[in-house]
This record gives sequence, structure tokens and C-alpha cells, in this order.
Amino acid sequence: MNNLVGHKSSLRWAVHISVAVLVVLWLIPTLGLLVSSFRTADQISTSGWWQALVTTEQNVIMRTAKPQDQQIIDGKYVIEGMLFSSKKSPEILAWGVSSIAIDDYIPGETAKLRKGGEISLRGDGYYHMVSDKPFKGSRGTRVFVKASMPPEFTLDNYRNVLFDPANVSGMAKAFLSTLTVAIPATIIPILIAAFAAYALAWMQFPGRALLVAFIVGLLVVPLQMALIPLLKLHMQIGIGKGFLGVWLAHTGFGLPLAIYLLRNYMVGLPKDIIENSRIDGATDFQIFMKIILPLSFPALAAFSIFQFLWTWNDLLVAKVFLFDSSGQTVVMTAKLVELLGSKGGNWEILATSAFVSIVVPLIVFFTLQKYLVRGLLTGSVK
Amino acid sequence: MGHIQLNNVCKSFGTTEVLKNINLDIQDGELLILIGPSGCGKSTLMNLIAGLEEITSGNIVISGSDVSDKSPKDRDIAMVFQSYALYPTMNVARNISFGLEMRKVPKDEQENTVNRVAEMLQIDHLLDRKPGQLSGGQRQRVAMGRALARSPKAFLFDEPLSNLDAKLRVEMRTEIKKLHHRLGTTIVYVTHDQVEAMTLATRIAVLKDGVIQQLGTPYEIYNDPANHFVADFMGSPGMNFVECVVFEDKLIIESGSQNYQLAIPCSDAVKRSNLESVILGIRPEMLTDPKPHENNPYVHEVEFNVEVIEPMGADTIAIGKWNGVEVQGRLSPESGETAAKGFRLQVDTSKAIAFDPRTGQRVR
Repeated sequence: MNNLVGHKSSLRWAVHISVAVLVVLWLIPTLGLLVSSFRTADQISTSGWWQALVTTEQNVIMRTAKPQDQQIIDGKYVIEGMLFSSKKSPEILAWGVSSIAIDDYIPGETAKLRKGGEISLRGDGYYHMVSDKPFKGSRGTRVFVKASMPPEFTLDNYRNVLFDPANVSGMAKAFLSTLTVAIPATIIPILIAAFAAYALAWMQFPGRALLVAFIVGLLVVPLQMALIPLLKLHMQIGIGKGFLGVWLAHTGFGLPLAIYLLRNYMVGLPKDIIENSRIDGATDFQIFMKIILPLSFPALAAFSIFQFLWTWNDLLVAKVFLFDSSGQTVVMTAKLVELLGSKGGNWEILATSAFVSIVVPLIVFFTLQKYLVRGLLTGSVK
Repeated sequence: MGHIQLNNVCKSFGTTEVLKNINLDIQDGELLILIGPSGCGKSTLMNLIAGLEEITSGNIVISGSDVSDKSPKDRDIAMVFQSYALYPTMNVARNISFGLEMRKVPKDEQENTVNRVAEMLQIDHLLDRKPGQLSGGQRQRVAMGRALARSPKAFLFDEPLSNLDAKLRVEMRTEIKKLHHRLGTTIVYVTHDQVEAMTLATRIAVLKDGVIQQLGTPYEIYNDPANHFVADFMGSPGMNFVECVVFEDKLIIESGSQNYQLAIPCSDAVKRSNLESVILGIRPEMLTDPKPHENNPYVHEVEFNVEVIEPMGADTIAIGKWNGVEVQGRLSPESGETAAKGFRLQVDTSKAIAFDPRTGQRVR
């Protein structure tokens, strides 16, 4: 009785609040990833993404320029430069040259170096190293800085992932490979499933109910169970590893859900329309093409989204059925794993690549979602 | 040429017999109404004629050829569904021409037909619209137009007006009648509305539990019903049924605490049947306020205790009791206003009929 006009259910607020909480919970990791993709590696390693917008006090270890850059000015060996490469430099609060005492000095003071010589550091990050003897070694001197870092965002990661020649060839190739897998692996099952679903929904033949039950049964078979036998079969009949194999595998794993989904949708279409088109003289094929298919867009769109997302994000099936020794068929998910694995925690690259790879599914979703909500049957019956 | 014959047609779903031995001979150009309460099998019978369901036994002959095993498209019939079943993704013109398209009629001929039909049904300004943009009445017209486009041997109408509001239904009823006069095509029309049946039909077939109770013209069905069911089903307000004791050749009723003897035309048959009591069937319009008459032996005057009056505008229904059973009379609005206990009611039994109380069959 709570839904009567004028009576607002007290649970409504509970529902609204829980929805809001759930949405926020779900969005937080994505937001974190997005923010991280605009930060530098240093920022990511020193502070959390939620601190990206505020000025924070941080302890950072910086290095001066290398000894090979030293100049001789007035008979003394000098290295000078800016500690921070970015334009908006942080304000240095304290600094030190030893890891035991990182805040011994304030900006403007001069410190003695352990290996000889001295260094002075200004608040804006300008350093000046002077020594009577030449500086030795291959690396610059470590400087420990306690600084308040202003918020800073960079597009460098995207430049790196999308345009850096070293990355771009691998990433672009992986992107194309993924598209080559995902598009046919979405279209093929839809084509097969739509025909099957029509037959199972509207054509009379013996054993139809059993067949439907069998397909529903297939829904619960875990795909991991079929990986090895299927791969063996592919090898035996000569498909081998490659795109054809992965398309077939995705098709097979997607079909039960596709048929089930589409059949249930088609069965719900008004019987009168189909009977009328039969009286109008349409064959089963014509009924399917001209009446059923245009009416089934919501179900087709729903399944396309599922299947595309699943094939786009898939790593397992691609690993088993696709990768060969040539390395020409690496998909994006595998490339991401590579980026993370080989460079040991390049989080900024990982976050950026993840966002680059999200773009396509988002486009697919937003183009198809309008079909999901449209009332296609309006005006047809009654 | 649409001459439809149903010979001993039976239909069962599993063990349930839905239609039992139906024999119907629908003449060319006839408008045959199938009427009956819901669940009587009338829509199933329609589907059998259309070929949407298989007959269990018997055969169906359309224009001399046996179509029992032919698919719907080969029977050359057109159907209008109760739900209209318009193709929602196609515009009105395409809806109308779809049947022609499927039969590979040339494009320009399709266009001519669409225009002709649209003009006939006054929907020519709607041809570009989708069904979703039409009102209920317009959708109904499109559904009819789709059937008309193909000029088939026969039309099957499955309760085509039941989704319209009362006023529109009356309008479309007239329109269908005009259309039938103009086209002269056989129409089989399913309805549960007895007014529709009476106004439209050339002949009416009354169905109950899968059996045809009576087949006849509207006049026959109304005035000469075969049994209690048909008499009860047709007419609004319905026929009065009162069980009466037979006394010689008359029937005894008790009205207004007095007993009356009513003479009825079928008294010989009643006598012959040796029944102690029969059910008297008499239509409300035979129970009126006193009118002048010429010494008619079937006109009686009885005292009637009016319990309820229901003014209908043109006349007033007065409800009282005979033999403890509710009886409706049709009075003029003037006398209806003052009708009360002890009203003098004129009863004309010249069209009264009698039924066997046990079987419900006519006594004649």
C-alpha cells in the first residue's frame, strides 16, 4: 500500500542512497585510474591519486646532473642546473645530502659533500655545486628534498603510449589484432544465433523443446573445461593457432547465451504479427528477415554489447587459440600485461593504456544503447 | 469466388476436443458470423479456415479445391486480427502492400492498389506514418486495408472491432457492412458481441463447446432459437425464462400474488410432450404497458410488482418476479416513471416459446 498516490515509501530513500553509494563505489577505481593516467611516474610513486589536486608535502630524492656535464669556471669545477624538470617547480622546504638527515638544510644554505666540494640549493630548485677537484663517477649526486608539490597533470603518458615510436608500433598492432578478434567474434555468433533463435521460437519441428533445454544446459559449461580439447581439435583439423581459431572459439563459447537470449526475446513477439505475415504469403526466411529481425534490435544490441566487451577484454581464449611464435597476433590485453610485467610497475603506462583500450567498448556501448530502450512494438498490436 | 465448405471438421488439442464435427457451407458473397461465449472454439475455427492450425479430421474446401493440407499463403484468404497485428517497423503504405510484395506483384500495381485501398478507407493521408503514430481507429482501418489490398477469395475477421471504443465500434460496423455490399466478397466474422452479429450477418452460426447450436439468419436466430442457450445468448436485455406448470394447453404463472393462465402458440407441442412443466421463453419487448389490441387470444393482462426500474432512454426496463424468477419488461419511459407495485402489465405471448426444462431443447 506504500505506492499509493501521496504515500511515499520510506524505503525509497534507502533505495536511492544505496544506488548512489553503489555507483560511487563502482566509479572510484575507474576515476583513480583516469587520474593516474595524467600523472607522472614520480607522482604516482610518492602520493595517492586522491591527492592529485592538492599541494602536498613530499620527500623526494633527486639527482643533480651527471659529472660529465661539469664546467670549469674560475678554476673550479662547477655543476649547476635545476633539480626539477617541470616548469611549475615545487617549493623546497628543507633538503639534505645524506639519507640519514634529509632535512638538515633550508633553501639558500650550503652543504658540504661527502666526496668533497659543496652544494647550495635555492628554494626554486636551482643548485650550484662547486669543487676544487673534478667530480667523478657516472651518476649525479643525490639530493634529498622535502618540498611542497603543487598539483600537476601531464599528457606525457598519452603521448608516450599513442605517439612514441618505440611503443606505438606494438600498441597499434595490438589494437588492430584486438579489433580483428572482437568484430568477427561478435558478428558470427549473432548471425548464427539469430537464425537458430527464430527456428527455436517460431518453427514447428520434433525435438524443439529438447534442443532448447540442451542449449540452456550448455550455458553452465565453464569454458576452461573445453580449452584443451578444443585446441587439440583445432590442431588436428588444421586450423591451428590463428584468427580463424579464436573466432570459432569465441563463437562457440558465445552461442548458448546468444541463442538463449534471442530465442526468449523472439518468443515474446506477438504471435498475430507472424501469423498475419504467413497469411500474407511470406516464407519463414522472409518473416525472419523482414519482420523478426527489425523487431529484435534490442536483444541483438544487448548481446552485441556483451559479446564485444567479453571478446575485447579477453586474454584467456586469445592466449590459448591465437598466440603463435611470430608475435604478430598479440592482443591489447596481452600487451598491457607485457607493459606492466617487463618494465616492472610502470603504473602510469598501464593506467594510460587501460584508458586507451576502454575507448572502443565505450563507443560500442553508447552507439548501441539507444536500441536497448526503444519501444519497438509500439502501435503494432492493440 | 469464395465458397467455403467445412465437412466434419474436428479439432483437438491433446485430448481436449475443441471442435466437434463442424459442418458449414458458406456461400459466395455471404457474411457469416461465428458467435459464442469465450472458449467456445470460434477463434480456433477461424484459425482452421485460415490454415494457422491443422485440422484433426475432416476437410475444408475453398472454391471447390480441398485446402485442408495447404499452407495459409496458398489458400488465398486475408485475415484481420483482433490485435490488428500491424508490422510496427513498416509505414502504413508498406503494411498494406506487404502481401502484394510477397506475391511478387509489380511495383506500380502495388502502388495503385495501396492508393485505391487507402482512399476507400480514408487513410490516404496516413500512408507515410508508422503504426505507432496512429490512433486505435486508424490502426483498425490499416488492418482492414491490408486485407483488402489483395482481393482474396474470402476475408476472415477475428473480432476486429473489440478494441475500439463504443462509438467508433458502431461507426466501423456500418462501414464494414457498406464495404461488404460494395465488394461482395465472402466474409467470415468472429465476434462475441450479439449486436454486431445481428446487424452485420447474412447468417449467424452460434457455437457452444465446439458444437454449432444453430445456423440461420439473424431473424431466425432471434425469433426462432433452437434451444435455451441460443435464446439466452442473443438479445439484450436477454430473454426471460420462467419455469411454469402446464395446465391443459396453458401455462400457469404467478405474478403479483395472483395466478394467471397464459395461452401460447406452441400449446399442441407442449401437450404432446407430456411434460408437467416447461420453461417459458419470452422476450422483454413482449411485456409492455397496456396497448390497444384487437381481441388477440395471446394478449393477457397481469398484475406485476415492479421492484426495480432501469431507464434506458428510449424505453424503461422494469424488473419484477414471476414464479419467484426475475422477469424484465420493456415499458415506455412515461409509464416506466410511475411503475410500482401492482402495475398492469400487458403480456403478448404470440411469440413466446417453450423449452424442455431437462434438456434445454425447444418444445415444438
